[in-house]
Amino acid sequence: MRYLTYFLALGLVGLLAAGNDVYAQSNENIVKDYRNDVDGDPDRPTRVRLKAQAGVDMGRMAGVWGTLGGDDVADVFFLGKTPDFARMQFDLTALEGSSAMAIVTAKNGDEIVRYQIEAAIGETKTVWLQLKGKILVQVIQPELHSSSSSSTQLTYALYFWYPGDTIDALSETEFDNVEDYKGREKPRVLHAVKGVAK
Amino acid sequence: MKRPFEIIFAILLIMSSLQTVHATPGSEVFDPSFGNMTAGASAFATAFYNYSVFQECVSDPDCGMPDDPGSGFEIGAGSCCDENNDCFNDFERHVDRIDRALATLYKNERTYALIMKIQGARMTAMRGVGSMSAPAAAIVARQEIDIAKAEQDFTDNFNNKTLANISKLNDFLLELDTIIDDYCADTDWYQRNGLPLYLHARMKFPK
Repeated sequence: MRYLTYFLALGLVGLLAAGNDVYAQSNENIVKDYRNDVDGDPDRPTRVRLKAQAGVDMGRMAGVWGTLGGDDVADVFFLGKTPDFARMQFDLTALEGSSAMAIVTAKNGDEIVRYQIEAAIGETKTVWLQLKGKILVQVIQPELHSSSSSSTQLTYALYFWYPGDTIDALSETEFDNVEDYKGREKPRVLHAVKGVAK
Repeated sequence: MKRPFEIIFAILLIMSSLQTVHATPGSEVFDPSFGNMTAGASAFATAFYNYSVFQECVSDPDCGMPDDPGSGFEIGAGSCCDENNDCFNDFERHVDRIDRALATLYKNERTYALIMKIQGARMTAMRGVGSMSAPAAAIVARQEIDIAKAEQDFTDNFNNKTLANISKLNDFLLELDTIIDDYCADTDWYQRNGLPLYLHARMKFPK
């Protein structure tokens, strides 16, 4: 019985130390495609639901931690359908292996709009898009599609962030102003002065 | 089954090694990108809030100064407090808190305006669809009632929150009055400085 306890304890320690990824609460809304391959067929996309995320103060987000390579030539995700134009941020990083490309498609009735976001190895591309209709995102290795050579495995991270209605309501100029406002301190509405205030 | 313990041990070891293979490339490869993304989103959200406060203050003639649009209100402690470092430091600390309370009111004001703008755009788009046919007009009429009700609920919630925030602002102003009174007797600071700010907030923000 003593041996049994000893072996079970050893095995348990081995399991905990080696295998189970313990993810912090802060990044749980992530599709982990490197574990379970996502389909590359645009007709069978993986549904990604944007949710509130600790550390992101506005709106909802989701992400994909994925790999491509060998027979796995594409990953396709369906983000949902928006009745009005929605401003979304797409954040693509090609972490290892090769460059990455995300093709964002918004289908609104007969109207189809496509955008391409490409990131070189080690690079992050952050792009804001205004989209209406059904939104699909396909991730590919651009080198593989431009030549017949076999590719190395790509490891990529892709994040989707919808900050909400208030950002949709900004005009283009206002939106650009907010972008330029990054890093500025909160303006003072009230100042303490000596003497009699104005 | 002479050696069941060794067999169990071997099975557990195999399971452990399988888990190791399964976990590659591992969250540590991806985690930095997640941190970068959330930091960028937070910076954008902060910029949006700060920009909203700035815009609202500038568009309010009582808040933005004509010669320096970013300066906002000025508030003095009075000559007795000016001469006393402890008093003026206390005063500045409390003014910071009042500034944050006022900034929240200006930020929420901006958010309210943006939400009303998008609701207005939706209503206009719906009316466009409704004008195409009689059945569509009937559907749109029903939806208009729902949107109008949603708008009214939003305004009610906004007002409740705003009145609570204004009440907090007034508490801060009264607290500051007590502090100045402790240093300098009979200043009537609240009557001269606090009350006008409270009345300004009361007149400007609720809908």
